[in-house]
Amino acid sequence: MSEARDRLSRAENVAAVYARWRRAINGSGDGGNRIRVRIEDPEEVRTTTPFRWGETAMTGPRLGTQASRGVGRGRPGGTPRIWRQRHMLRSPRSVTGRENISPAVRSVRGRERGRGRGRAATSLPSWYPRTPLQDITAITRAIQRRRASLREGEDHQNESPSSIDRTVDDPNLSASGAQLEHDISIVTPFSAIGNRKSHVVSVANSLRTPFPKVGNKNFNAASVGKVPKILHDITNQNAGESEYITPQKKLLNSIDTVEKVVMDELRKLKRMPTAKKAEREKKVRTLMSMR
Amino acid sequence: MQKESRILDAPNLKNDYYLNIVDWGNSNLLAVALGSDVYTLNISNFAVCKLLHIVSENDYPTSLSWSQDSKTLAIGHMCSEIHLWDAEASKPIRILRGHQEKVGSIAWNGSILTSGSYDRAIVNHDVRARNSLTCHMKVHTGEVCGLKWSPTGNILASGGNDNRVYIWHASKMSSSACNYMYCLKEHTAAVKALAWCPYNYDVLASGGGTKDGCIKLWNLQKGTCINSISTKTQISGLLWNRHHKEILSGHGYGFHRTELQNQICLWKYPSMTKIGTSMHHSSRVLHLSQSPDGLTVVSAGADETIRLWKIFGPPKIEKESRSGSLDSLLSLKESPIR
Repeated sequence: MSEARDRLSRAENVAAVYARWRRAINGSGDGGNRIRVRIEDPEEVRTTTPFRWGETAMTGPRLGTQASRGVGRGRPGGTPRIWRQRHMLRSPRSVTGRENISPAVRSVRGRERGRGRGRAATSLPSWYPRTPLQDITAITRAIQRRRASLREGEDHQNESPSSIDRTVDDPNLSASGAQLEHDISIVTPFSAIGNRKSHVVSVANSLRTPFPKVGNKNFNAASVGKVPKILHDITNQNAGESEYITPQKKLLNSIDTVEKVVMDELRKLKRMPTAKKAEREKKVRTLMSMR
Repeated sequence: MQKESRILDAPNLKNDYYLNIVDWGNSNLLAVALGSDVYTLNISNFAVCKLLHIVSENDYPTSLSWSQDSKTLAIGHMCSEIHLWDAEASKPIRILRGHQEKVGSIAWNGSILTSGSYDRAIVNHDVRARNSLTCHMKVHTGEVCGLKWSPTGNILASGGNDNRVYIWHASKMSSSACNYMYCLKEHTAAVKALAWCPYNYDVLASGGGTKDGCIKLWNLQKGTCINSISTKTQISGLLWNRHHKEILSGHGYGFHRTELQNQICLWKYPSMTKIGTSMHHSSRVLHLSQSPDGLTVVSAGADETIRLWKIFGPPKIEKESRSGSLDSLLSLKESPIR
């Protein structure tokens, strides 16, 4: 189940990117004139798979000619296409009677009746294999949850587009910038390097250089835990110094200071009995392996 | 209101108000017509059986009804025929004729099968007799879309696309004269939803179509309307709760976007105050049916789903740890009756 939702999530991104791209090249007004895209159900397109998205992009007037619905019906030279054509399988006799006409639709377009706007009636995704009277409780609820979260996401996007863009670029990142900065220094200092561009202050940026050195030295978690304290002290110290020093100099100074402090810490660590013991064990292991 | 307990897929379910294609029989088999097929679903183990497939392009099942002993399933067809099926053997037994058009509603009363059609006629068949047709009445001026026999089996209610509800006495039904008991004219749209009160056999509930949107309660001793509430949405089905004094209504289209559109709603009887509304069908509700034990309700929607709702159940008896066993025995709170 989680896998299916996962797939849906990626599809949403692709569709969103595609929609943005379309808007970008076509402009807002005359978009439909240049590229003709058949979108059966706007709601469904939002939550469909890449296949589905691909299909809508590929569709032309030939869409209705195939007689059966199904999965993986290949087109020469094309990707597998999936769609539902229940409207094709329906009885030719149309549904009539005034109770079958939605008043909302009737007021706009009188000819549309029964099945509404010809869109798929079901909320199931088009790729979902359908079996009469099959239990679909789990998938329907999952889709409902997914749509609810998408709706929430959309609302959020409307409020602050920039923050959403950032999360789309890197889904691992959380929305809060402060939180990110905090994580860099404590939890995963090395993986975060390179992702940050503007959020981290210049001093903190410069302080990253010593990290690899530290990392090479077989460091344990306790020593890494001290680094933020050192950084904090240095920044405070720098802030207290004269303002006439150029940022470059400040940077160099801070690098030196940090290096010094870190090396001190290292040396201290080396002198600790646990470190000595570990070193001895290492030596013993090497010797034993030579036996 | 609580969530549905189960959702079943119903591909090709016809989105047609004038059909009656979901029926829950006394043997706990749910019969559903999907497109040109008829399926039965055993609710106890959710085993699905395909009973019938119609090959003809212009024919499909338009109404379903289980006999009271649940041995026979009557299937009304678009082509005006009614086919009787032996559900156990999955074999057709008999074909009944007597209509010229689509058979949109069927109701059993013992061995009498009553059918209503697009040809505006109501026909009674005695399924034991060789010549089954016992009476043919053409009083409605529109399609007959709802038929319900009273629990006592002596009164029939019929609703039509002519906005009328006719009440018939079983002993006085005959082809020669139009001997109906009452003609109820207060609805302003088609009447499909009809339900007899299980605790007062003189009370009938009826629901009107989109333009009407009213649930009306009738006293059939006097032929008067007791209560009427406007829901502003099409009413496609009505069911009484046998365990508590409640009515459930299924809703479809509405002129304006209202809370009840495409939902099912529970009402208190006789005050007709709203207890709760479901928010789950994404398209209009087309059919409602009730389990034989009266606890579960099935709703079929135009979103091609069939949903099972356990909403008629008796309330859970809360055991109070504080009070002693004698107290709990004497306490009214422990009573199974709400």
